[in-house]
Amino acid sequence: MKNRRLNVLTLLFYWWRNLKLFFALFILLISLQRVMFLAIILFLLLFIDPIIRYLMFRYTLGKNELLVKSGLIFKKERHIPYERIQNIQRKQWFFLKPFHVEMVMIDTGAKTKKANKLELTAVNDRIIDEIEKQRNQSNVESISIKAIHSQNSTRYRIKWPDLLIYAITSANIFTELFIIYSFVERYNVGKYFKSYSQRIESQIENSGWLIISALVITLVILLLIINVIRVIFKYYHFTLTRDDKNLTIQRGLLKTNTIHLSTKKIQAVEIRQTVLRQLFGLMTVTIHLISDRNGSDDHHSFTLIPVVKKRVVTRVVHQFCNLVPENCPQLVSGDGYMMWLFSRNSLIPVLILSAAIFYFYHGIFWVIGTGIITLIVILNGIYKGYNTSVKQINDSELMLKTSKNFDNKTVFVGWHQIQSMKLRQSIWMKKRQRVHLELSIRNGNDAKIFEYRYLPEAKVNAIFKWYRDFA
Amino acid sequence: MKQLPKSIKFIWLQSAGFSFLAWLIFGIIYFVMTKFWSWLPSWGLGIIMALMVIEVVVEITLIPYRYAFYKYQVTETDVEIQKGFFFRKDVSIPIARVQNVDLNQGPLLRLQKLYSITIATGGSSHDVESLTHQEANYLKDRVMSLAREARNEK
Repeated sequence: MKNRRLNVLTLLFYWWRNLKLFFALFILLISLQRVMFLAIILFLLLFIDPIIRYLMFRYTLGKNELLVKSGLIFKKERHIPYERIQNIQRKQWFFLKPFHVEMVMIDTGAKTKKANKLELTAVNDRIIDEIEKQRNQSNVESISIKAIHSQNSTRYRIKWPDLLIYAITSANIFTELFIIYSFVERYNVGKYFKSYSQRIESQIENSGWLIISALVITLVILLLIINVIRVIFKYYHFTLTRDDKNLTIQRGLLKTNTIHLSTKKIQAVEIRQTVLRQLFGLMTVTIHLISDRNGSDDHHSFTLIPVVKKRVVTRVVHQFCNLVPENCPQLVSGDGYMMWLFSRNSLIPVLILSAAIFYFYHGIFWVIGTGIITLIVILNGIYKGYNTSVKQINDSELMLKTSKNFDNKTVFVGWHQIQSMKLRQSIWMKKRQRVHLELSIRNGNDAKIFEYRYLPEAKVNAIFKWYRDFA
Repeated sequence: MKQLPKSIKFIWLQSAGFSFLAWLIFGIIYFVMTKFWSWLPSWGLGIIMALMVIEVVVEITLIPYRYAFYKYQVTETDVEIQKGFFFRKDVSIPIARVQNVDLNQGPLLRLQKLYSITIATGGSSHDVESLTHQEANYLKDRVMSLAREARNEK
């Protein structure tokens, strides 16, 4: 039970962060007088601050708790009981591997944003293993079962071709292209291009357009390559392992990321498929956790498997989380009335907009433009109507599916994870026996609402009754 | 399914009265301001008065509707709240999911010896606009004992 300091390499991280801060502040200060003087003082302050913080940060592995002391003027002590640790995330940069040093993020599951995360910037491997062991020991039931099943671990690795397709089909490319396009528009880069291409045009006839399209194609290929590299850096060697009740996710090329979490913390499993990935039959599996601020990579949902073939998705996920059945149940797809309602709802604003356009502008271009938009909106409505459905798949679980902008989303959730259920029905829907269904499910520190609209009343009422009378 | 205590109607009437007062004060302030700043149009006062009349009339006429279609039920296992007719909402909150129950009492509710309660689950929260002291306590005790049971099972 001795006070320990972090590894000296902590200083590197602290300095690196402060250096970034220094440049940010420097840019702000640059217009001031005597900027060099201020910059030197600032630099010195930001250089000394990590040393003080490093010296003042001490931690102790106690018998029942992890104790962390920090602060020079405002002293702070944090006591974290091992059994309260929700999940542990380890990050290791490749250059720290020889030193056996890793960064640890400990999620304490506290309600407040500030208090639920503890970072040990650089710690020896041995100590992290010790913390993990302590945490597992405080959870007595899991250790006893673990002793029996320790060989029965399940493992999932991503195949290279799938990861490549995943990288290529990521929607980032479109947003990046759009950003570049708007940049070109805004700063009139096109003008330089034009004068440049005109000059070439005089030499090679009519090849100006050719050059521009060649440039665009090169740009797209470049972006694709960047995306592929980024995805490979992030998901390199993605391995998901299940040991009894604990899941371990490991990924990353330059920075190895390891996360341990308990399957008990899983609130819902979401299987998503974007429009592009539907073509390749690939799906992404995300999970909603009670407290996931450490591991959240996008909007509080936590990627369990970034990419998996549609054919095997439920079979694979079932091995890691029992919420998903081994064989994917068949859903009854939505009827024509639902397709009509979804189309109608999104058509109303489009029609108002096109009426306004036709009032101010005339010409075939506008007619075709609004025509295409209307068609897309109608198709989206039909698609959404077809894909929106709910089903009770066994005694205690629901499967719910809907789509948004041609992206599919299927959710598996159990009774114990649904915080509350709400039905909404307007008087017009009553006549046609339709109901909106809303589920509230815990996600991070708050709830996420899952909404399924215009479902048949009889089906939803049965689900509502099941939910109410389950206990 | 139970209805809210009858006296809630009187409370809603009172709160309509308060919004009348709030609009009136706003109108007076506006009137005074027009004396100082001549560029403020005098028809602004007309709009304020019109909004006041509309809001107060709508609030008062909706009271019977709100009362008639606001129902709740506390059973052994869940709390159910049902409201609205034109736009109907039906919520079920299992007691096992409830994290905490807040009993609130503003000055108006205090005069009528009523409580408004907020039921918070892990994330979402739901209101019942008013309950008598007895009902509120029953709900609270029920939730507490169930929560204790759940802990013991663990």
